[in-house]
Amino acid sequence: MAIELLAVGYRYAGASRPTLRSVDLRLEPGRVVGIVGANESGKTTLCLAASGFAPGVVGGHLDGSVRIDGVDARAISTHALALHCGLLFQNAATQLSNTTATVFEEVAFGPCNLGLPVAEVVERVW
Amino acid sequence: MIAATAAPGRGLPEYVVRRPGGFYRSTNPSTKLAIAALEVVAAFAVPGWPGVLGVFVVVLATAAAARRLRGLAVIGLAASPVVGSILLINVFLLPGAADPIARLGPLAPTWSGLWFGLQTVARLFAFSAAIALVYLTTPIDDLLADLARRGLGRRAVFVVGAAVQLVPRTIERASEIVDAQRARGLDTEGRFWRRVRGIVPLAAPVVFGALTEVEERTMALEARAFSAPGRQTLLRVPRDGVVDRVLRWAAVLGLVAIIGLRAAGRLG
Repeated sequence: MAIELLAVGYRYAGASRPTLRSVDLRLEPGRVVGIVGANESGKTTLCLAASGFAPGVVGGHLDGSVRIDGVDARAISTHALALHCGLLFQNAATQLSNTTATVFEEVAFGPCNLGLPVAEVVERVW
Repeated sequence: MIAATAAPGRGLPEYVVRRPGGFYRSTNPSTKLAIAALEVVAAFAVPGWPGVLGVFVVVLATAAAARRLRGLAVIGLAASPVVGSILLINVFLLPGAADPIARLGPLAPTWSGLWFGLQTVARLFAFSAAIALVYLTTPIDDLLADLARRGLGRRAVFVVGAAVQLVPRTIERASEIVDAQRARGLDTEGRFWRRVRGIVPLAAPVVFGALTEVEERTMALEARAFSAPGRQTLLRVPRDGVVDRVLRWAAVLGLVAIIGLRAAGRLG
């Protein structure tokens, strides 16, 4: 899967200044890329934009284009993005659904949300 | 209690599959909720002692059979400050009571206040015990799975789960913050006032932390296709046999009957 950002700018809703300005980035399949920067420099925002969650979930205004496997991220519905991109945040506690009793079920939460058959969910999680 | 659906090759792991744990604990969560609702209504709607004492007997017998008496006792103990204050207010300040037990200066505790206070406290205990027993014997994920199976939307199911877990999660979060603050020298042990002072620096991180977590939690859920259309797959479906259904409908009919009789003035 490739992710491509072309001249991406992003401004949070209500913010007077953009957090991202003219970012060009191409992430090739299989590559591991680290991004380093000061606090509040926009690392998280870049990840949100690259995965389609900004503005899809977060709101705000995006300039330029984000392409996930060649498809404009704005054309992909929020739940369909989950099929293409995973996103982990720094606070582990907020990542849990709090509706499950075991790690197995927690990992299965995403596939279950997609309505996959039980056999496939079990197979994916194992 | 739980019927596990397994993959042809590899099924659910042993630790995910629930084994039956006694009759009441294995009863369907919705049936338990219906029974608890009947008990609560009976405790409050049936006048005098018969209703509330009957509920007590049923709840305590069920708790004993489910081996949850100790848990009920702990919850009862936690409610004792509220109970004590209700009793005191009624004993000393029940309007219209004119049968003093004794004269204590300007105060005059009354027999009718004591009687009314005891009855109110008993109802409160019966109410708490009936609800607490469901909580103590039902894994939250079973309750949520059962609600989802009955067609409740995934957002509503999530709200129910979050509401049930709000207090334990807040306590857990507060404990983490206290530990972090202690590790950096905050003294929260010792005398009463020192403990009270320790609460002040705790309040802001708990409240603001909970608020700021909401956005991240929302994004984390969306990243896991929470808003996907259609029904969520259920890995485990709580049992709902004939006995469960009969008990549930009996509880609902009992509930309707009590409310109807009370409304018609037939319960005194």
